[in-house]
Amino acid sequence: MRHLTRKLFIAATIFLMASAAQANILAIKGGTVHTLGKQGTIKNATIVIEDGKIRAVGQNVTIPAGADVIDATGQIVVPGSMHSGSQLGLSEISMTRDSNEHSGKESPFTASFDIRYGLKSDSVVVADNRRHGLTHAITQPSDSDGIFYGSGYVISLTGTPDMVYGTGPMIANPAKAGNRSAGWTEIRLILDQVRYYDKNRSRVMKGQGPDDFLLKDYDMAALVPVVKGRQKLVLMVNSADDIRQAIALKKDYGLDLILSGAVEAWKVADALAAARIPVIIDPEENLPESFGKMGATYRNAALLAAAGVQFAISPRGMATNHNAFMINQVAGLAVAHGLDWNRALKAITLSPARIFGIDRDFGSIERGKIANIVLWDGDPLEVTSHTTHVIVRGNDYPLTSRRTLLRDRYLHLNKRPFTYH
Amino acid sequence: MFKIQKKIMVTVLFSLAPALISVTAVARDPMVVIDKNPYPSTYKPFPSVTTAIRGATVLTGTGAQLDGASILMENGKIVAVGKDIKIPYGAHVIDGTGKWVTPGIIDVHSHLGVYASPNQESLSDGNEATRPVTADVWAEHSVWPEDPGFSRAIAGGITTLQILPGSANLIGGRGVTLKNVPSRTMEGMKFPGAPYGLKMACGENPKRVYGKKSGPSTRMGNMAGYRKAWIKAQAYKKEWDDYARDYKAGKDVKAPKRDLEMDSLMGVLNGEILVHNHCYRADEMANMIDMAREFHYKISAFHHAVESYKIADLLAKEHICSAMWADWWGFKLEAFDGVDENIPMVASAGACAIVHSDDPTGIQRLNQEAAKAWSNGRKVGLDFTEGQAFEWLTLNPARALGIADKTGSLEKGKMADVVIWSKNPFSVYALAEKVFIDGALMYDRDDPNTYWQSDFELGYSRKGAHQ
Repeated sequence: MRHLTRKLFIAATIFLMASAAQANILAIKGGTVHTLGKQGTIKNATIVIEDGKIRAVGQNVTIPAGADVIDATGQIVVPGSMHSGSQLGLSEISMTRDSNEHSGKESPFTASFDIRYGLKSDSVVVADNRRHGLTHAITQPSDSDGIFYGSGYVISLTGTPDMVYGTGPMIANPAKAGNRSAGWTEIRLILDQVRYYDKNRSRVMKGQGPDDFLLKDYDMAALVPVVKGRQKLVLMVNSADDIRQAIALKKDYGLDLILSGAVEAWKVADALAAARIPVIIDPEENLPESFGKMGATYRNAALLAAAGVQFAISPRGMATNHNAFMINQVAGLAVAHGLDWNRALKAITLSPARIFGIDRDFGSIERGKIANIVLWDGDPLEVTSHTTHVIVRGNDYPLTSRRTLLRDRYLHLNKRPFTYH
Repeated sequence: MFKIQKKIMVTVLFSLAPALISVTAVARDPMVVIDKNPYPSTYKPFPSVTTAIRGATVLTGTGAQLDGASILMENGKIVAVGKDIKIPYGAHVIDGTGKWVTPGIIDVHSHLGVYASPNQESLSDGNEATRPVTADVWAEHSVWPEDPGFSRAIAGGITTLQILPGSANLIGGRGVTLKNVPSRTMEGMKFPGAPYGLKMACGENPKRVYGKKSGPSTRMGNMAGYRKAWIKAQAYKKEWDDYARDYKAGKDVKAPKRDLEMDSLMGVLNGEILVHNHCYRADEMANMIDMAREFHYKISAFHHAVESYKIADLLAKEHICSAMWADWWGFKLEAFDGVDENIPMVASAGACAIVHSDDPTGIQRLNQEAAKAWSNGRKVGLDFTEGQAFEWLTLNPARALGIADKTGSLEKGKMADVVIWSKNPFSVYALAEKVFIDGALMYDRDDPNTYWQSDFELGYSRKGAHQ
């Protein structure tokens, strides 16, 4: 019996994978394409996708013979949305012991905590977010027993074991030190010690270095790419004062810095622009939840745009995993509060790709990029719009998930008696 | 001994002459009556002028959409709604061209004031998580009127909201319905004449909070906990009913001992307090329905109710509302089966559907949540009009709160709780431009003088900077 179930499961898995199998050539024709690239917005455009990559975009593109063709007439075609700080693939259900792989708390690891090992390739959460138009994301650790949480990864929402595109940023939260003073003291000391460790690694390994490092050697090793400026560091900060500290930290240590949260970024927008530090914000934040968020405002995005700060939009709180798809809605909210529509679309597509240094492959509909493309039946930032096709790495995925199966099972309650068929 | 003598005396006096009865009554202690409203509302509508909104698209909250219609508010009440209404001379006239007008949104599930901003331990006043049954606590005694969240909510078109205790407890205490107005006191916000709510909670939360303490640690333990409380409440109610009956019959009886916890439960059994039951799973809701029948009370609404779509027919039959999120799911096991079509599926079964927030951010854009639910329903063939769907935000929550005779729709004689939207509120781009409560303009996006700023925020930010 158990074997049978397992066989059925494997069969189902193969079926699902086959149905999402790469069509050799896929074409999308007739839609209005917001390329986010040099070609701008093209009406009645054709996109040709081959082996998961975009081969051609334009009005006068010939569709190769034998291609599968999606008719996008009357639809809006945009790059897939990218969440800039999710736990996608790392939790099926929050608040359960099982299936939560995103926290290094109560483990011996901080910076070296590696979520890559915990990713769930057949996550129903990934599948559900994909059908809503999310095609790739930074998925990252949520916590640890220290300031550093470990590295995030860039994933495409393929629902396959090869979802990882590459290593993303190191994640750090200075507030974990207990208070702001302790946080900035500790983070600077750690960075100093990592530099020392990197230069004297063999001595340290032999026990000849100082024995009072703040971090274990393996956590320091994980931070070496950060102090060398080779790995981006995401710092979770909100207050204008903490943002100023972050700007000073970048200057003093030559870090490749990204700020996340950044609720009061608008107050220090000019300094952020001058320091070329990008920020990731949730435009929903307008409550003085803490003394570091007293300046929270719906206008953060619009004000940052006006000051020339590079920013990406991603929802937080409830919406870093199951409801990560709310990213389009909160971008729309920013538009309602003064942000230009095109900037808002960019803030969930091209800007995050640029901020995380993956725009060679992601963020726009341009020749050579990975084909993560979404078709919408209306304005993609509007709450009443729906996706009609979601293409990830060139595969046109069915718009189904465990949640749509549940819905369909109960859509017509007049079937009597009820059975679980 | 003394008791017997007294009884004989009473009997003797009764048999003597009617005139003497009153003398006996005076000799008795006065009848003890429990004050059901010891913290009365001091809310007074803010000053208003006779106001007409002309030429707008009006969603009445009763299912209808009137294009190019007008609405007249006078003395805090709605006087007329329609295409050809007479606007009295001297009325303040607002051009509603291109605008949408709706009833004020009612959030049946909020913790503003009891889990206020800033989110600090010292303001965490929503869960009396010290024992599983705390029917004696009243959320209104935790409400901090200075919570900046109220000022954010009005900018989202919220005119009325129920503040509930949290869901740590099986029976968490009384909820209170407030008008969303600036006030120095909770009493100044209290919705006049609104019945109290009683918060109950199914499932994971009580289990989690008490599992390693006093219990309950299981769902069956949860059920036993409620049932024991209701059995006690039935006995308490009988004591009071017997006392009142006997006293009125002229007997010299002693009033039962007051029990605050039992007062609230007796209020439910007497039909005066409405049950608001946090419950996610369909099977647990069914258990709660059976229990309500066992103890002869009524459940007004299931809250969160992420599985209501599985038993929408049962909920319709029982006339129980479901207060739901549009699409939140998966944040715990009992929320794993949440679907994007829950709200329209409940509505299409003929059951009462409500969009609720349970969240200081979500409360600011409940119209968007309704829009998502409405649109997701249409996608699978559940075709509601926008007019019908707006009931999920206004009239249905008013019903669940027992105030549908006073507010929740744009009907003659009701409170003039009205929102003017910049455009169709079923859009992420729509903003509440003007919000009237009892006819008074409480918020005007174009007039910073109307913006509220709580004492807490003074000195930190400019008034209205949050929007």
